[in-house]
Amino acid sequence: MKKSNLGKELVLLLATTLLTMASWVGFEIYRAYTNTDLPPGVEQHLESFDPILKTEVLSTLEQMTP
Amino acid sequence: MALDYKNSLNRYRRYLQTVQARPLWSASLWTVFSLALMIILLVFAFRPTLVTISTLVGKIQSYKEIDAKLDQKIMAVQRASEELQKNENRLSLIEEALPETAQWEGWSKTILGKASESGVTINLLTVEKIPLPGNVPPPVKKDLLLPENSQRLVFTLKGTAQYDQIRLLITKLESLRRVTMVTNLTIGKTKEGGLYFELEGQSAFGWKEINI
Repeated sequence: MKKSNLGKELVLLLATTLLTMASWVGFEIYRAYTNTDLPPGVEQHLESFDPILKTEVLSTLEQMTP
Repeated sequence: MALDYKNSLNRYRRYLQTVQARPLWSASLWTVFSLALMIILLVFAFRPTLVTISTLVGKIQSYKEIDAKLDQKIMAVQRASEELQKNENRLSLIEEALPETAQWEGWSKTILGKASESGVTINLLTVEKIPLPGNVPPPVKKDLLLPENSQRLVFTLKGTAQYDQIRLLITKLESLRRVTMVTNLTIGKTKEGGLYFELEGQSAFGWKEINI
């Protein structure tokens, strides 16, 4: 009877260890997926800008005297 | 020592044979072995492989995003280039309004020309700190009406004129293409009964870091 209990406990211990390991591996996979280091300087090139030239300033300047 | 080893091995073999004979124990033993094997495989085989795969997938994903953003930026640059080409002839107006250097010689000619057009008599034109390289005044702060971060050419005009002529001069100065503003004006009477005036103003220059 005692041996049977020991076997059950061992199975339980291994199962929880497996679960812990599985979750650890899972988190590590998630971290590896999300934590991608971009090459230095790339973020600077990704900054967006407005390509529209504010020509109303030029029109106003045209109307003024030189 | 060798006998002990053999004895214990025999005992273990007998134990395994006994265990195998009992179905519940057999199942339990196989479960234990399977779980242990899974743990070992998970830690030493699956983990590095899966981490490498997910790192690569993450990198591919982020590079795709970068690629899309760079495509957008290239489109924006192309559009900006087209806009620039379209307005190329008018861009000199900006240089005229906010020249890179003070260009005070041309500026003083313009100011005196406007004074002459207005009919005022200029007795004195003072320019504070002629902005030669190395003697550039501090940038304009936000509280003034001149463009932020531009440099300023501070000047004072003293002369005599009629009231309408002074008003015309101020109008002409403030409608100059070169960014100019009148900051202070003092008008008084001369002994002869005419008007004298003292006009303080500022003109902007140094366009390099200005957003228009």
